[in-house]
Amino acid sequence: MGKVNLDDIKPGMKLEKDVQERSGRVLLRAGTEITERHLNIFRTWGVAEADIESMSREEAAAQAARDLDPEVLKAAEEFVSPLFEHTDANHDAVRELKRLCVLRHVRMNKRNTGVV
Amino acid sequence: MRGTLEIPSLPMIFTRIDEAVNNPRSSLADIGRIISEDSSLTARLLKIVNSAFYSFPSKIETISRAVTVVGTQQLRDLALATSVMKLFQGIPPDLINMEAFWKHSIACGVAARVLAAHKRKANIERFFVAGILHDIGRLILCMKDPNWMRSALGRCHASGELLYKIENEELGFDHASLGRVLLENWKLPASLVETVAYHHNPEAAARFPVEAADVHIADIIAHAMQLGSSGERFVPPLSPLAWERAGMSPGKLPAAMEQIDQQYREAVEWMAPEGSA
Repeated sequence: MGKVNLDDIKPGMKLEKDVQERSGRVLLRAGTEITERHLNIFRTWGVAEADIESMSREEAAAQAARDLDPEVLKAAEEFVSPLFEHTDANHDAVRELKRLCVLRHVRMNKRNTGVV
Repeated sequence: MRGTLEIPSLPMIFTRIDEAVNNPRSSLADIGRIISEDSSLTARLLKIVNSAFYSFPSKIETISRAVTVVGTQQLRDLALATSVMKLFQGIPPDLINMEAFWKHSIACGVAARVLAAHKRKANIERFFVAGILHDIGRLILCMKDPNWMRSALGRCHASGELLYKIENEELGFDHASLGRVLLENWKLPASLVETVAYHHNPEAAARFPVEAADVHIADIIAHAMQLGSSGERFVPPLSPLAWERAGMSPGKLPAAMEQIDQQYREAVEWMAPEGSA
């Protein structure tokens, strides 16, 4: 179904393809069920994304976003959106950059207000 | 624009390092000695090579060691990045907040460096210095015609237009092409000149399209993450061709942004001029 961002991969999801580190060495085989430990290994090796069975990038991102308070998410979107006024929202990269900036804004607000 | 353009000169120390790096008869020790004569530059370079930029397993205590492990070209580029920030003084603070300006420049430099590192490019500090310099033409605009800049910022604020488009429309050129003039005057390498000149239209970069694409994307990321401010309020439009040329994919953004945040936090600390921060 395509690549999913590391941040959106959750334990219990299943790998659709092998995960390789940059030099091509296989870290984890297709079909493996992901655990928290695997995610740490991906982070250590700089793996930013992986193919997950029956899950697209958008679905995984939406699932991760559902875990957030909708009010908080909406406020962050209202803050970030005006910045992107002159960009093309139809481009994959722009959409992803905006989405990540919204989530980053949520995280930074939490840090600033001390609510973790 | 009124007046003649009095172009600030590059710091002498950079010129001397550059000459030594380009002189096949200079030894590593010669280059180390030149750097060591400038104690504040020495201190700053040691901070950089001991930061998350490099993450070496053990501490680098001396410039001669830094020359060996980081390389002369990279140290030269870092020296340029850190020394150029002192050159522009006396710009009215209501036009551009210099601290915010350099923070945006650092963010763009860090982002360009991270993107280049992901592609395993050699000499990634040339991407860093390109990011540091990308908006430098705007400082010249502020120095040479503060009144025009004030009115342009006002128009930008009222209409929600992009500042660089207003520059082009009203002046017939923008801060990127002015940056090119400055860098050419400084006799900096063509790759740097072209990268700065085309950071808003990277399709036009004929000789260094990948470098220009990298800095174009880095600028967009720096704006989106709201690290510092160049006077431009909006994220500039992305060139789809540059995105392709840079070999980017949306999936690379999360890890890249994570690293940019981390390196940026350190970089603003060691780039701060003495006496501040």
